[in-house]
Amino acid sequence: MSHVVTIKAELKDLAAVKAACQRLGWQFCEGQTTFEWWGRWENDYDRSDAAYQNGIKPEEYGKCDHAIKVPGAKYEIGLVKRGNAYIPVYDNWMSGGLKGLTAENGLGGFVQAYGVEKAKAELRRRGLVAREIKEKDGRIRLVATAR
Amino acid sequence: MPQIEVEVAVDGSVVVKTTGYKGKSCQDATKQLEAALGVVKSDEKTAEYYQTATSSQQQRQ
Repeated sequence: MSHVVTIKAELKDLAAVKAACQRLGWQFCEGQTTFEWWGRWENDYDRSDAAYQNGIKPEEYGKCDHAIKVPGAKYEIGLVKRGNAYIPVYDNWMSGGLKGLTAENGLGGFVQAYGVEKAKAELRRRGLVAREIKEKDGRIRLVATAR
Repeated sequence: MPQIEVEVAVDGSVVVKTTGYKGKSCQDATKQLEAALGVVKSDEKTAEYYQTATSSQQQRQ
């Protein structure tokens, strides 16, 4: 079924998106303008995370600016450009294999990985090298000492 | 020694924290970083921030 959803994440830095994919073992497909999903809008999903409730029209489902392949999943994540940021869009119908990716788990750790890679790059740009510490509750801390 | 700490939660929210900077220099140190990350939840001012701010006010009086 066509359960196309999005999560509230604005991914502005494509280099950090690529680094996040690499970190998780996902495949970033640069310039891929369609993503795998159910294939047609069945008007069968209207929760608050439904993509059409968040600015992506049903007729735009399956279209994107870049895509991400998650190992073992048939369906793909589309990155749709809105303004100067990319929004992740995907079909969470169970047979597609992406059902486990939720807002609560930051799209299976992807949004967190993006944040970590983006922060590391910004710290590097300032001549700082960050030590990465993973906390038991899932938070990732980057500790950088200034010169 | 001045230290910058960035904490990224599972949902992607980010907190930037500084320690060891004196006065508002900690804000300068993190301002650009916060702008670049764009999704900063909050920042924390360390004891050093308040200590130096207090001593500056006392000097002016």
